[in-house]
Amino acid sequence: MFTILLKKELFVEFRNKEVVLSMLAFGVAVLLIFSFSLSGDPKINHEMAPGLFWTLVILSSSLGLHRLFGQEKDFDAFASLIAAPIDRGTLYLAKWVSGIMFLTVTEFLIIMPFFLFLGLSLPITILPGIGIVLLGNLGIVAVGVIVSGLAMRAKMSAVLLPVLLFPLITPLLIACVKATIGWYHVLPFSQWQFWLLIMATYVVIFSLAGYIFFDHITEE
Amino acid sequence: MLSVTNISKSFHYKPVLKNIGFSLSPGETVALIGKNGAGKSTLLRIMAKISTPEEGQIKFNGKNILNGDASNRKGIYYCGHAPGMYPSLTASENLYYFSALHGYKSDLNKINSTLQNYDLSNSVNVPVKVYSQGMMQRLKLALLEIIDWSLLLIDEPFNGLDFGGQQFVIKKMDAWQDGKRSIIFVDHDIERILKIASRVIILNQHSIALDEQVDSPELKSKMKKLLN
Repeated sequence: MFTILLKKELFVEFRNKEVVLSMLAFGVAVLLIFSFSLSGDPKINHEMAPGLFWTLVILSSSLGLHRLFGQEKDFDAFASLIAAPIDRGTLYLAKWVSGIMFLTVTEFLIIMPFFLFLGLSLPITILPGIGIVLLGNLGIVAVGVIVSGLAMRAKMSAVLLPVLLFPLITPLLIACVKATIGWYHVLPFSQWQFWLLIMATYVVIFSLAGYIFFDHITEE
Repeated sequence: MLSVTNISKSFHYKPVLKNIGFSLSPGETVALIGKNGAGKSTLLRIMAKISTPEEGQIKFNGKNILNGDASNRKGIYYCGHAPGMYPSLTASENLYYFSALHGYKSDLNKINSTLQNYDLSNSVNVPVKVYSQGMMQRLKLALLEIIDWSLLLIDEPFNGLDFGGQQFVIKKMDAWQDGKRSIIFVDHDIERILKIASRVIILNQHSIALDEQVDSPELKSKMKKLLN
């Protein structure tokens, strides 16, 4: 059932390009503002890059997360979906995995302009950075699907989503920024491994909570 | 087949349903009626596990559907007010996907022939967001030919349909009354209800005010009295 649900998520997004395009357009706009508002001093940009990157990610992802249930909301396909004899935890997992894919694709498209516009030097090692970003994505979308599912039935869901999302996501974002600083500024691993542990714990807690409680989250 | 026991539900501390209880045997076609806000749609949504009651229990073929495994609901199909389909997908894609969700892997040939029978073959490759209300209703009913359901929960199936559309739905509902499958539908037209249903349940003041077979004496006058 997970495969069917995931395939549908990817197919609908492939047809509409609603989630990725909205995140990408917003991300590029934020990036342009960053590049024009910063001093242009590569040293300052280098110092601020981890924080700027995660600001860009969280602002863009909030837009994409809002549209994660957009197709279900428009024609109340969500009622047909949850009335079907499927485990709602599996539905959460499909939304989670597809959301991670959409966010990762957006980041992949935006990362080069990010380095280019801010005049940043490329990091020495890339793999740890990819790991940090993926772990951050896992956490952001784990919380995002829960919040988006909760906000979906609200009349002002576009307002409700960031109001609920940002306070919940703040501890994860702090950990993401700290881990990214450690990696990008080439600090000893022992100085930032703690933040990776926080991120991993956050991912486990929220993904499990989403899987277990999505049944209650989605019911009227 | 279905037993509903002591279902209560409120929205914002305002009761919508109070201690609703009834049971349904295979082959019955029940019309669920009542004034606006009586809780008909809410009861259907609770039976489809879209909405959660504060109290009560629902068993389908002896299995708890409110707290039990999702597979306990296999055989129940809910058809609500709204289209309930993915707007950007085509008719065949929607049918393929929703039949898969109900546990049936149907081939495209079967889907296409069903769409042809439901007079939708001309619009098979366009997203369903451009469909009219009548076409959408036919599409929702077409899914019932593909999946193997035993209980249909259908909310106002005649809403917004022209005369031809209404006759089409009546014909289909007649055809589905095979003695094995059951239907619970919400409607407001007394004459039509008496033609289609085998039993009538009227919700009034958040509770069941009447639960009778259609052949019971003076049912029509009782229905008019309760609905006016």
